[in-house]
Amino acid sequence: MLRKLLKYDMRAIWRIWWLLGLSAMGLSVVGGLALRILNNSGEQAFPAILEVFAGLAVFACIMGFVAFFIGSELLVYYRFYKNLFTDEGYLTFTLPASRAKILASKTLNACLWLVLSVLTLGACLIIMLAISGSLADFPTFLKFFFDGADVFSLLYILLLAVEGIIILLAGSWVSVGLVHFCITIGAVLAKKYKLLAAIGIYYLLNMVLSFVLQAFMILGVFATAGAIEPLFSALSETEIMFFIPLLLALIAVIVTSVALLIHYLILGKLERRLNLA
Amino acid sequence: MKKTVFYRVLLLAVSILLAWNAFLLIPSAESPDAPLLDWSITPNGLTLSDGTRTFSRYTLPTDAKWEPILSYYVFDAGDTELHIKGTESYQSARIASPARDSEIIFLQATYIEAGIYVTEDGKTALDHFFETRENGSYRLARGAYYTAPIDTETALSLGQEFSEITETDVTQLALLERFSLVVYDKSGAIQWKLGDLYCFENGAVGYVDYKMLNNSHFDAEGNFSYRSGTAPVILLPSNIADTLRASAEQIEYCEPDYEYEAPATPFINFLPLFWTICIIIGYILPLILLLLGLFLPRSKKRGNPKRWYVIAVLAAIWIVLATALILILL
Repeated sequence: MLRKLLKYDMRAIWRIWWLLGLSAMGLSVVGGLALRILNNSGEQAFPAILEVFAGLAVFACIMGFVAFFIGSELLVYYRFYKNLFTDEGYLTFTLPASRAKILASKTLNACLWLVLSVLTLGACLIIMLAISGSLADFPTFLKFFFDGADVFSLLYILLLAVEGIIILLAGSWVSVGLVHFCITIGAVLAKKYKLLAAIGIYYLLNMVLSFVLQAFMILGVFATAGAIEPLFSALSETEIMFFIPLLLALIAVIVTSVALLIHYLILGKLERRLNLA
Repeated sequence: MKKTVFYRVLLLAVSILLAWNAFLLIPSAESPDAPLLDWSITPNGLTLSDGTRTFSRYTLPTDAKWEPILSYYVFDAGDTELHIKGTESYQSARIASPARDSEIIFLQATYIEAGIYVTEDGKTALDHFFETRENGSYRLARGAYYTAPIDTETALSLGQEFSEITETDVTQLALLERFSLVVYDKSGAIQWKLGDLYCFENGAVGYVDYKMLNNSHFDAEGNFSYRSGTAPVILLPSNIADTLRASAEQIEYCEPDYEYEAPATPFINFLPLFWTICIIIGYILPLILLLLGLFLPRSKKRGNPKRWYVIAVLAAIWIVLATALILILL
């Protein structure tokens, strides 16, 4: 059932998302050409008005990318809200699927579109830079980076990359979970203006979290900056080689635990507190 | 009724947020026109005050200088704004005092000639030093910062009259290895050059005592001149020469013989804080999760036990990884 739920969730988003994605790709072509004009303005004499338009086009392009990302996110979260907490919720919850599966489908859907949006933005950036001619030296850079690397080093880099990707995926799960959590709490607390309540709760939660995290980060940075040098200078190369992947694994476990906790909190609210009546 | 309550709560939340944002803006509205400084000086530049103490300008003997050994030079008020008394104006200044003596300070300001300011005690100490040279420390110096201490008895013995004095061409002296004999006052910041020592190729050590020279031996800056003419060189007895040579071999870049801890940058040992954070992140947080994961499945209210067991497993992996990292760091 999860597969079916996910299929329909993804299809619903795809219906509008592909237009946004295509627009972003189109914008990247325009932005690349504009950037090319700006890059070559020293060698070729372009009319001043063209350079001004090129600058504006690059700016519009970046704004377009931001709009694409925000638009993608809004699509996903609005579907979550509409499917579960409006009148449509009556229909959704009559489906032969548990609330856990419905939430899993929504969460997977949101994470997938978040990843796809980021990948699309990356592709747009590459297209833009390739057209503008800024990537000419990239193959040389890659050759320099990987030249002389033995199999062991490549495997080590692969391990770090895999851990990094797991952390990023778990991080996107946390960010999706936080938005879902706020929408759920907003819908549970407020009878009307549920979206407004969700936005308020999200703002409040974000503020509290950023305070706590900042305080912790400042303390952590001070402590680490002050203590890391004497601690690390005592480590051998082998110890550092073990330390880095272990640290990344720990971060991955911490982020996954947080994501899972948030997920279970939402599920608890959906299963026991939600009342659409 | 419920709607009203919700509106009120929302309004309260928005008000708190706006108030908090306004609070965050307060620092940017702070007026830059009111520097909270205590340093002030009279318009004629003769009296300086730090708010609690008053310093008077002190005129050094012409052959003495404010030239502290590098490490003694401590800026108490690095770049500061100095208030000109009786006016609304300020000027930028650097105020320095030797770490050993806060009775004597040095002022370098934009429009007031640089100079030394002393409290009553500082004035008494400096007057006494210039009259008797007591409480001073004697050093052999090469260049500005390479020095070696010599004992007072040896230093004072150089000033005694010895029988063998030769008039030597100063251009020849310029070619020899030489050291200055400098006496610093108690603060270590005011130096008084007493003479120069020359090491001859035959092993003899000669001393040119500035007291025996007249104005023609010095340039406009007050430094011994090697341009032309002769100077009286006292050939030192071999025992004193040996002592001085031994001291000269110990000349090194000056290091302070005390530990000065500037109050602005106190040394903090961050290791306890680092380990505290490690313990909190590595053990206390996952332990809470582990306990929740193990005990909440027994509670009927708290839903699906399988979910809590997953949390408990993750917390256990968390603790194991943290332990491995801490073991590597230890």
